Amino acid sequence: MSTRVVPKIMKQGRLMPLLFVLPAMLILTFFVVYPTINTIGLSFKDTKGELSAATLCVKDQPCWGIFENYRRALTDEVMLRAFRNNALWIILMVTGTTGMGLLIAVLVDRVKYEPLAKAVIFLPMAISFVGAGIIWGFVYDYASFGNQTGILNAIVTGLGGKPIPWLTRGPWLNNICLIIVGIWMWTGFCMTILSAALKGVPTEILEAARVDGANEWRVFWSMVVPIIMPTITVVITTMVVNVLKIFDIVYVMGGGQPDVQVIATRMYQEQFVKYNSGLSSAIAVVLILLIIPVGYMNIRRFQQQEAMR
Amino acid sequence: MYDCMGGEGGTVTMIGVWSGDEEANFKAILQPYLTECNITLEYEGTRDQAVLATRVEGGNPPDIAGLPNPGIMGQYADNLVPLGGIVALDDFSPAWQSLGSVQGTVYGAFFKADTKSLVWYNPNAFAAAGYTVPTTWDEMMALSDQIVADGGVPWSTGIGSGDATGWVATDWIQDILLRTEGPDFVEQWVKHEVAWTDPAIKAAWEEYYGIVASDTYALGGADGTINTGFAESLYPLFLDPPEAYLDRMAGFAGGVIAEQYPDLNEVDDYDFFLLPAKSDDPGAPMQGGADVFVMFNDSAPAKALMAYMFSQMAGDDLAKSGWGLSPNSKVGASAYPSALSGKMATAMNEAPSFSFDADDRMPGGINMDYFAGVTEYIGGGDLDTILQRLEDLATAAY
Repeated sequence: MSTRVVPKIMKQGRLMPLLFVLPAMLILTFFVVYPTINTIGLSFKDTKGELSAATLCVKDQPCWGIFENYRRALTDEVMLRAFRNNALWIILMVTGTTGMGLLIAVLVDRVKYEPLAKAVIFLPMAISFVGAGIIWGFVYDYASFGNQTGILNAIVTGLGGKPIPWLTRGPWLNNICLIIVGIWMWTGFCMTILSAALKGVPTEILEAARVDGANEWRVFWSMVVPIIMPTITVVITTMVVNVLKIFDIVYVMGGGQPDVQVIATRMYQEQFVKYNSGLSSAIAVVLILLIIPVGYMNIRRFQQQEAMR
Repeated sequence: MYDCMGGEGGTVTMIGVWSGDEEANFKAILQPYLTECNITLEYEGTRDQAVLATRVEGGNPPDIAGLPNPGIMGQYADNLVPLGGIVALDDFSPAWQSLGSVQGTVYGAFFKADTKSLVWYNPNAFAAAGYTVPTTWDEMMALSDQIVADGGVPWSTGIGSGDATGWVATDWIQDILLRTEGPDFVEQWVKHEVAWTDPAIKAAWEEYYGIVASDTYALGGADGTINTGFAESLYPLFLDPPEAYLDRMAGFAGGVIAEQYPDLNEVDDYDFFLLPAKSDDPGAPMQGGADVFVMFNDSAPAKALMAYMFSQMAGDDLAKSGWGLSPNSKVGASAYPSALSGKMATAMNEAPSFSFDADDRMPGGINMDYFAGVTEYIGGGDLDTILQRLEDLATAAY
């Protein structure tokens, strides 16, 4: 019996795995960990990042000491509206994109021109948010004189109605008009992933159900949906994270109105328009804290799915 | 032709706010003098006021500095050279001299200015309808009522400007405050010695709202005001038939109209009048922007250049260049290539006082909240809530 000699280079010491992850760790430390820690530090400082946030307190006004930036981030009236708007975005856009994506995925699964139909639905994903914002800005355009160049108001006035200021009538119409743009852009993404999951559903068990007398409605809700549920959950959590940090559409189309601001645009305004790094950092930390549980759930789900394979 | 005042062969250091095209315009005006007197100008253009502040603190100020508004002058007063005897101050109206003064001594002189308190109109449309240019606020509102009675819409009031939507409204409100309370009140407001919740400020917002959010006075009512871009708001005045008759807009409006309607002639087809006074005191102050220059060193070449910059000769060259209006009273309306610019310069230098944009000078980026707040108010927001929010922000910022 000969002993196999393992070349020294193939022996794994304790150090070897660490060396492999080192580049990734270095990059993450530099670009994620350090900025995060720095942001948390700045959130306890004043507007210039020099003195303690407690110095921002005003006499005879509510004050949370060193947490003063958090008091403003969590209780300020404009911030409360941003939270409300973000909640509305999550409710409407996540259900809208997932629902529409699933519906389209199921429908195109049964037609011959599936690739073409899917390509058309997916196309808006290829447009930048800013581009989409400008395009939809034209759709929603409102003119107080002359011809209506926005297609929606052209239709409304063509039918004899009064033009509607889609993007400035608050607090619901303007937000919903912006959310529609988000749904238009992201439905294709959800559709693609859900469609792939649908293809993975074994036809044998669906056949078996049909032989047992289940109608298509029953097959869909009792067989297909439970089987692709892990994928649906991943799509939903991914969309929730996406929507929590939604920025571009509101920035391009919102015109700075307090009525449509979301958390990310408030963060931007405080930092880059008003140069208030303390409050901006506090808003960023709040946003991170909101995203972490969803991201954690997403990773857990992903690992479970991997384990199932 | 040029008086070099003993500065020949010297060097002058200068920090100014202009760079790029504006720097080129500025240098082109000074060049003949610099060449003739063999003075070297070392110019540094930056919008960052910290550059100057650091240089002054470090004991190394430039000979001459240009500032975006005179409010900044106060912090340097101890280091500045009084301009009496260097600049021909008599060529500037008392309003300009007092703006350039710190505690009664003139330290700053104004090189270039622009105007905001103007109402643009279409003289042809006025003639066709038999309207005349109003000379008092009451006449202006009576004209508005007359236009409504004739079935027209008097005002076009668009304030749209992307992320900064609302700045036009803040200029309007300041114009009203200047006519009800006067420029001193506005300065107190800038320093937050007057609260945002002050009844006079609230009244100015309400008076503005009464015009721009009214379906009868303003084209498209509140929705039209918020959704129409500030430049586009000028167009309906020149449609046939006109959809509106009056638009309060800054001096740049003439350029906007000329570009949109190249066939129209200034004065004949489009013109402006000064937003009229509500009473003799404070009259009709002019709101606008102007760049002020101060001196840190009284070296011979610096004095010579300063004297030239504020001479009628340099003012005439500024007027001719079409870059801006000269605050120098000796620069006549005829010096300007455009009759409207000449008229603007005259209106500016004859105004009882000149007031700088208030919100631009407030700390903590409060102007952006002001823009958003006034837009929200026009859209139906509660005025007391909005003013209280601005007051809270101001309290924290000062």
